[in-house]
Amino acid sequence: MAGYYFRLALLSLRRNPVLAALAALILGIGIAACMTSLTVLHVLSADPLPGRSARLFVPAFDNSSADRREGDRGPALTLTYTEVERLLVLPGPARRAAMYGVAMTVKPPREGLPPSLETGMATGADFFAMFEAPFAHGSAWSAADDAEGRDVVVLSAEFADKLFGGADPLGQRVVLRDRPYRVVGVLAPWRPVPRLWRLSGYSAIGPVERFFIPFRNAIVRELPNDGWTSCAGKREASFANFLAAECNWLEFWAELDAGQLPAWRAALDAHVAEQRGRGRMPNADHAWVKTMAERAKEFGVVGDDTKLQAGLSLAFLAACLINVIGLLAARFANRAGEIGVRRALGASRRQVMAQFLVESGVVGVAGALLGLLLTSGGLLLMGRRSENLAAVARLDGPMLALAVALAIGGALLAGLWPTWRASRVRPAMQLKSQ
Amino acid sequence: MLKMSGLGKVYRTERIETHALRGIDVTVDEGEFVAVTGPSGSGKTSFLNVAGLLEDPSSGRYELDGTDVTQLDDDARSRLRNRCIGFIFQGFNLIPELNLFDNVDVPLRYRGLPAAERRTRIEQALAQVGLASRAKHYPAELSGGQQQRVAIARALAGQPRLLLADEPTGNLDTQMARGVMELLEQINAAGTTIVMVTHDADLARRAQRHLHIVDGQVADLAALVD
Repeated sequence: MAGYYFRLALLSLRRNPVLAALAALILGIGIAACMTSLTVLHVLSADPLPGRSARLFVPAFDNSSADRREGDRGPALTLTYTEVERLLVLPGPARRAAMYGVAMTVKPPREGLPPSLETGMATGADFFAMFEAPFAHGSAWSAADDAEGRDVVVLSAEFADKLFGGADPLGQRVVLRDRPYRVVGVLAPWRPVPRLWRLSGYSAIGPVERFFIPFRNAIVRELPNDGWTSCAGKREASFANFLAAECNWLEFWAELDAGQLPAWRAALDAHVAEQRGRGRMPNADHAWVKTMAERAKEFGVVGDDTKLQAGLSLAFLAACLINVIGLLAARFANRAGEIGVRRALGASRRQVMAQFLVESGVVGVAGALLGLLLTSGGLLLMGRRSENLAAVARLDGPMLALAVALAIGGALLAGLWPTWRASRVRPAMQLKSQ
Repeated sequence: MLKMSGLGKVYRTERIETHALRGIDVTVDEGEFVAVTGPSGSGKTSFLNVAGLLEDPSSGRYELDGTDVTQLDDDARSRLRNRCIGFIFQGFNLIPELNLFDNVDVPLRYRGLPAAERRTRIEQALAQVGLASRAKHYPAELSGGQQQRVAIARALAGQPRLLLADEPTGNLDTQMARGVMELLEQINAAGTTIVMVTHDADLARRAQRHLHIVDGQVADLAALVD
């Protein structure tokens, strides 16, 4: 009977297209509004490294001063250099990488291009494997480069293209802040969303850094942090003193298997105890280990405004569905005569309900198609506002499925009451009044 | 075929209670052609609605083809209606956006018959009423008499044992009415039981039996055998 009901639905829509089109349009607008904001929520809430993120951890320490109020105590968002130095040698993690932002003047190797100030990141070679950075040419620098702090650089795809055009950049030199760096690797185009490795002072939907240099190299060159820096007391004038001060500015990720985690936690706690012995960390009695999801949460990657917007759009969809209920009720009320005839000829109430639910479903499919079209348009417009928004304004398979399910489910839900009413039509009354 | 015992039908609103049928006892045997007459508001249509399982009786007992229908739920009543009863209405009640073929197909769809059998039955029924060549036409393209013949074809396609007709010639001119009546007589001659509500005394006389309803009660039950 489903095929028969489907055919009847198409006939009915052809007979009275205005109300059906209006219902589909309202549904489509509701779906589009809902899907646009849900897409942003979905993209920002996504796990950027499925399968690997569960093995990535961020250590945190409370190095607040003794006079800090109770409510202000707790683990800092970033680390001091003292902690990072220790973390880089603490046994346990299979991979580890400290990181901070660096902004450097870049002198392009090609003639005719002016120098520019570019943002990059100082980190360890493990970073690329930990965050699954794809290489188009070359690879990460070596452990020896890391240890020695050599002048080597990995370029993003876009930056390599800007600097070298079509030429092979491997082995070429790029002058960063008046010093030539040898290009050892070039990333393939890469735009993970959300990008969660460095969140202090950097957007989770922002692009990947333009270049990467060894952490030790940046420290030796005394490159300042291009990001948040929070120091207890007056900021030290010299870089050496800055490194020794209670300044939080560095980020650190470690990759561990679940079995290694307890031992690593214990080692971090031991570091806290040792530091307390030296007069630091007066408010701490243990260290914290945060997962990638916890890290995203503490930096508010999915902001309250995003959640509010998603909530409001769901409310808007509900309002649209209430309108669709009214339109379908009006539509079905006009068909009381036909319902009476069908009931007289042997249709049960359930069969009448099935027929009209299928018709509601067809309206839902039309609403879904319209909704997807409007959603794509909305996301396109959103993406045109900025490159960052373009990264989150994209419909993927699950969201497409959700849009279709929402539209058809919504239409069926909206059609329930009008359909139930239609099935309660008293055939005798309708047959006489025809 | 049809047996009503002490059957009553009451329509209630918040303020008014209308007794449409008051404890009527009616039996219609298999193969009979019964005419039901009575003044407007006498309860003729209520009788037909209850007989056709379109309305529940308020009291009494109603057996259709040996089944006590007051005990059946909506699904079972719908199945029984579909299997046993054919309807012909004064206003034809064809579905305007379906062509004649699809209109006749409606009761067969609800019976779940296979497509080939439905097609055969529809073609036979339309041929029986002389409209086989108009199967793809729409009701609006036909005269009133032709539309009523389609309604008869729709009723016939289900091969009902009981045909309920409510003023089947009420909207037709004399010539068309005669044609429809002759068709009903042929159907009855082939063995189908017919109960026909009519205002027309001449048509009523052509039935085998005449049931007169006044104020919801059977006033006179006389065999009118020619």
